[in-house]
Amino acid sequence: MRRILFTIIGLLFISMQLLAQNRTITGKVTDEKGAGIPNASVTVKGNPNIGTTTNSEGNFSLSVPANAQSLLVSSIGLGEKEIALTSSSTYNVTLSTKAQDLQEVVVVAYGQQKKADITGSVSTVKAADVENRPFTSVDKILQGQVAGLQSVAASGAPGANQQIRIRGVSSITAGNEPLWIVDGVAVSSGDASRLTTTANLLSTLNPNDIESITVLKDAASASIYGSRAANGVILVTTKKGRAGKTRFKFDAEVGQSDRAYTNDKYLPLNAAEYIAITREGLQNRGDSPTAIESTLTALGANNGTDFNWYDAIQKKGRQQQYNLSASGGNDRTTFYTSGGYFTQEGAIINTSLDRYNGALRVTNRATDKLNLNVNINGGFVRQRTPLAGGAFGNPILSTLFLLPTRSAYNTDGTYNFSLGGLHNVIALTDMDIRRLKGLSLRGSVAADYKIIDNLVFKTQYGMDFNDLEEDQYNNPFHGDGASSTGRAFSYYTRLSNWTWSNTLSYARDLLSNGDLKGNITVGYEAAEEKNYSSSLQSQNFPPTLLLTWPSVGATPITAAASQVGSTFNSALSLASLNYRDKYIVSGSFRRDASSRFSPTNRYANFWSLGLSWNVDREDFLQSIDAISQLKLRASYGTNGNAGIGNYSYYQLYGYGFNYNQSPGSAPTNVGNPNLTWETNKPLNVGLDFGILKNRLNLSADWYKRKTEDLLLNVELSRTSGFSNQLRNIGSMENTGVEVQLNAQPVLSKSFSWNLNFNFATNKNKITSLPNGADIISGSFILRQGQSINSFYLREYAGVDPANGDPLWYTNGAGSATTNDWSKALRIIPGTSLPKQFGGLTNTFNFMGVTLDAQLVYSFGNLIQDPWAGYYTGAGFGATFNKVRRVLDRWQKPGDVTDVPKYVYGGNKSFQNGSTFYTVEGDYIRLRNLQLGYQLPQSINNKLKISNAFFYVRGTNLWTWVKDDNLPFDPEQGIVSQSNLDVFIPKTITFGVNLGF
Amino acid sequence: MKRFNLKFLAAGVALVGMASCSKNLDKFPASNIELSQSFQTVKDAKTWNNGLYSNLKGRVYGVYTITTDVQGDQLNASLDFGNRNGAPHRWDFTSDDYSIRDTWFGYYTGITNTNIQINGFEKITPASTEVAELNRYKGDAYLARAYYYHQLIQLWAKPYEPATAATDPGVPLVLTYDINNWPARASVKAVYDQILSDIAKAKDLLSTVAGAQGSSRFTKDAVLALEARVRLNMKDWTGAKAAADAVIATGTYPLISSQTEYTDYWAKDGKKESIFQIAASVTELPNTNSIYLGLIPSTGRFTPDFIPSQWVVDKYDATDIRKSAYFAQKNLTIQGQSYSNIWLVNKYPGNPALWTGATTNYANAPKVLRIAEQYLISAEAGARSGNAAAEADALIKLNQLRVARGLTPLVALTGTALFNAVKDERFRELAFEGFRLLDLKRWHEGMQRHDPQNTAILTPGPNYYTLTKPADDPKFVWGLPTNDMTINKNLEQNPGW
Repeated sequence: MRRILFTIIGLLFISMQLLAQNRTITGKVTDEKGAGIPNASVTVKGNPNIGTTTNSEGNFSLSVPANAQSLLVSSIGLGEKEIALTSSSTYNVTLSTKAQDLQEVVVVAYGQQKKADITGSVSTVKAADVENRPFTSVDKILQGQVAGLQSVAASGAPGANQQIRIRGVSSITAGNEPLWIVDGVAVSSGDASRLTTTANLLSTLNPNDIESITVLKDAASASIYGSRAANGVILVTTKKGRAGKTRFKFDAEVGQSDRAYTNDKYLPLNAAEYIAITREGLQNRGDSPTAIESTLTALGANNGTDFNWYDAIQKKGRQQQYNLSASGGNDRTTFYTSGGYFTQEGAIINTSLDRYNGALRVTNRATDKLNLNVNINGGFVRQRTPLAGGAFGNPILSTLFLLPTRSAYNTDGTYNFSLGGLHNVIALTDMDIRRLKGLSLRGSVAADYKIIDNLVFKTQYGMDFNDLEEDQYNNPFHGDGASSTGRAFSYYTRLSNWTWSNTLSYARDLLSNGDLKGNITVGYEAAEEKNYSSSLQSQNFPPTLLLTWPSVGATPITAAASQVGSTFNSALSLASLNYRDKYIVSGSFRRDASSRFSPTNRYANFWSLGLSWNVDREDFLQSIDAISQLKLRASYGTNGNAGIGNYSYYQLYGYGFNYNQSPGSAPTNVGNPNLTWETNKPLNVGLDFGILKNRLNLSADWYKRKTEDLLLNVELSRTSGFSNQLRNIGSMENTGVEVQLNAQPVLSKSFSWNLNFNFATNKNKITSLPNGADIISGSFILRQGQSINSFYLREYAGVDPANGDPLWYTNGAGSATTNDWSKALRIIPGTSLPKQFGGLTNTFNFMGVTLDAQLVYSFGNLIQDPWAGYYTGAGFGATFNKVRRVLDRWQKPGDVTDVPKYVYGGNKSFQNGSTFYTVEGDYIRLRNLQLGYQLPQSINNKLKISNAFFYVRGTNLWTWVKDDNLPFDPEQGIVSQSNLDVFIPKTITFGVNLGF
Repeated sequence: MKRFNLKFLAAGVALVGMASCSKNLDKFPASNIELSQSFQTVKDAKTWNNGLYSNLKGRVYGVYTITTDVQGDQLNASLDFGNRNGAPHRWDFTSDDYSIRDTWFGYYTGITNTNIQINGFEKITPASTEVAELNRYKGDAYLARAYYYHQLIQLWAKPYEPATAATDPGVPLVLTYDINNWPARASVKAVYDQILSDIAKAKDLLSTVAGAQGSSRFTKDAVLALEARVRLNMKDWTGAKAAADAVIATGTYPLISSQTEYTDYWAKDGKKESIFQIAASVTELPNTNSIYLGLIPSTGRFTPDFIPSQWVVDKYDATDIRKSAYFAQKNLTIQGQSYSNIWLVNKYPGNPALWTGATTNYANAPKVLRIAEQYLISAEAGARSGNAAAEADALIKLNQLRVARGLTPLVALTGTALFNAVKDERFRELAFEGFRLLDLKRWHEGMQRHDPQNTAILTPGPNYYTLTKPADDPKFVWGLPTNDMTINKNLEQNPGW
């Protein structure tokens, strides 16, 4: 591969040498703030085949024919500028946002829109903020980049799922994930795996193929997606070719990863410490000295072994990625193509993800009226992820549970399987298989035809195809397969979607002087999604590690295949009116029908209305130079949440209730023909403000979104044969503020400082529940007037200094205590959802050296460790190892501590859930720190390349947490419950970006 | 301009019109069909009928058998029992206990299935050649409903007393499927009347279905066997004896007297004594009574949850073939310590034909109705009937069972002595099959745990191996599940819960 690449590069150099009659023009394209504009197009006027793009600093170098008259310089959103060539060979071009700002185009639902026309709350992320990051999927990269978008990991496993919430949580039963639209096609996202601990369909999408991301947050921007828009919409646009010389881009990056956050208090004890605390525990239980010694001997006291399981499962994860793309074309046809390879290992054993990518997009202007567009984007991943949670095969669990007196190896170097019933995860890494292979293809064919001027018909057929093969083998000797003499699973899952959309758009001036413009789009869309799955399992394997497929197992266990799916039909329309770019009114309407709802309840209408006032266009502000932008926005509307089971409304009779090898059936689903969409009603008010030639930009939004007809299970009399029925009952609301601030405190020729800050708050409130009754589920409660995801726990009151007993409060006032856990009062100590979150990015640029630092933060949630009772529970689970925090235990009367007396077997149910095991989750994390150097243009020219950028990047290098007792990483998913997941890594990478 | 607008409007209307083509909006699941489409042919009825038995398979053994047995006097919790079934064992369980909830819900979902079938089968018009087949399915549904209601009434109501049954609260009587129904409790009598009515219908509909050893479906003998059990509980001595004697008289189910054959009957799922036995296979595994052994495959030692008391083991003579069929002396690991030769319940060791791995999964085909119980019903009904001839026959039935099991026949017993001998035999024969606590309850006897095996391996404390409860303890009658009490205001809770 590498050799071929160099050959290509060499050939290119030779071909360039032949153009001897040319002269070289260099220069820099900047915005009016002076910041370099990357990826701006520079072509020779009249000959689009001769051109280049600017590098990440905005610099370009172009060899032009001696007779070239002028250059065309353009950038998305900044318009185009023509530069007449003189004898000078250096040109600095400023693309003015002041003049062009309102012409900037943003990708929005069903097309693009000028920024001036936007009435809703829309955030965009550009390619430069997405490319070349050491993350396995794009959803992870969005963390901290968009105000109001909460992106949170639960697991650090490569390929792990990421949870995204836009403007809070709006549903209890239905989905809360946003709708992902890639190049106009709704795609599957989230975790579709069935055997793998955690996986992510977006892992197959190469972030380097992404041109831009638009996040639609309110009614005006998102309601046009109707029944699927309630959780916000994320529009991903992939890269396109541009007319001109074919441009190559090569990016390479290598690095390694390590655990990002470690709390010494939660490191396991060594052998001597474990035996000492266990002896204390046995004494505290009142065992006789002989019984104590006998128990300790059985646990390995003084056996000479002190094995560090924690060190044994950790490793430096390797990280590499290589991407090569080519793009170009002529004035009729353009193309973009790319290939990529990405590999990442986690910070512990048995974790990895490899990805291979390819993309191709071709656009063709067939006639002056007809444009064709074909694109396909494919990715293949191979993933390896260990078990999580309480599974004995979980490496993290084993570091906390396995005794240091028991080694992973026997003295002869073979694996030790006598571990007190727990599993030797190091051996299992060799002996078992847990593997996911995923293939995704996303693509579309589209055509638009200009019927007459301003009337365009567009049709697009898109599909999204995801294939998952999961194989698992548990060997017959040790571990999860031992009890069944070996077992193997092969699961196949296929998710496919297609969407066919047809739209007709018409724009015209409504007043002859051009003051009032209007446009309208009407359309029809049909979509279907199908999920095909087959499952095989067998057991009873021969005593070898060589045969790992289900076909070898002597006893078949599972042989099943099935398909589920749903369809949507929709009519949609969008319209807007624009009066002199000052006053904008926009509206949307969509009528959706879905197979998920009964024929009597199948249709629903969703609409939105948006208003904006570009105050800066008013005469009275034109004279005030300091104010470069002032815009007020407001929107309201409705949209829906169709994230509900495909067949929930049916009263069903299911098969599989077989008897004596004959097929049997029984009622399976109580059904409810009245089921309908959850309805979300977002109200948004916003302000965009820019001063000092937009050196300081502020965008602020306030929103309140009410969600009604929440799907909730209503209890039935169990004498009916069913325990509950899903009904549309209940409501909640989310309110919040979002601020996005851009500033350029320093701007000079040699030094610039760019600052980007975003801030969001969200407050959730459940406003109604069935019969107003609390719904308690595990450690959480749903209660009217409180936030969703409220913890509901017994309140820990500390240790009784007199006797070392754990105490809990029995009253809300926090005064009366008890040492009987069951008598303690449950309270709401907080929620798992942060009150505030966001990010801060500082970019410094000095003579080609850039320093980029992104901090993300999240404040105000609680984090629970539901497994901690085992390793900090004052002696509960005494035959498992403990963490260092138990060393703070009460030892003698008068001791003041929060860890009770250590009693072998447990002390007064201290291990049961209480606020002892929740901590404050506030954190600040250095998400990205990058130091880069841009090779000067003069050297580039000598090397005959257009761009060379070298960098070193650190990810998650530094983490601040508020609570000293936070056991694991502060990122623990939306529910903020740690599950002994693979550590979230910190990564250091070195990379190079070359353009030629 | 006007012309164009019309064109534009027409295009818009056409696009919107497409949205109304909605035949692709009817999507059906792949492994389910809509309830309304499911009663059309006798073949549909057949799958329903299989589903009925599949449901029944899920509602015998496991929690349905274990819960009353651990609540009873024969078992003690080991130190490693991990609080599994701890609350009923200690009698400190409350009405939100999962065993209570799951048992209640299990029986009622079973009843819902039979209700839907009984009503749905009426919509099917069978061909003349199919009438008998459909009748059989109907009969099965009636008998299953009778079985479920009988289980419910035994657990959640006072024993049947002819004098007060009409006013004693029973359980909600639900005969049609309706999720909006909030039923109150019917009287004990009303529930028993319904059970007898269902049995009568089943008797008629299954009259041509001959009994067979180990039948995996209901037969006319199964109808009689359940009737005998129900009538015994109703203190209808004549009716109970008549039904039990009728089953015995068929001669289809001879008592086993060989040690090997009897051990295999339990361990390897023999059929000889089974009037109705659930069909089990590797792909259709039954619930398991897996609290008794706890084999650790790697060491071959055992860590059981529950261990029989010494006095229980001692109730069996050395010559009693049940002793080694029901018990085995095993080597234990408890709290990491080794113990040898502890008696464990070995009635459900797991049939090797049902193992899915190298070692036992404790799966045995559930024996729901067996002939030995019919001998005991006949003997008890005869002994309590006050009729001399019936009493004499009771001793004969009792001795037939005793002799088969390797014991000597008893002589010249009548009255209370005879009744006590029947009780003892019932204790021995039906141990760990879910009868013991219900027998104490209907005999109005207290529950007394005593004389355990090695206490070093048992969970200590006043609520364990020394627990004693008087016959009137309210927890002999289970509480209605909290969930149903909260949601259904028409229900009245049993006292003491």
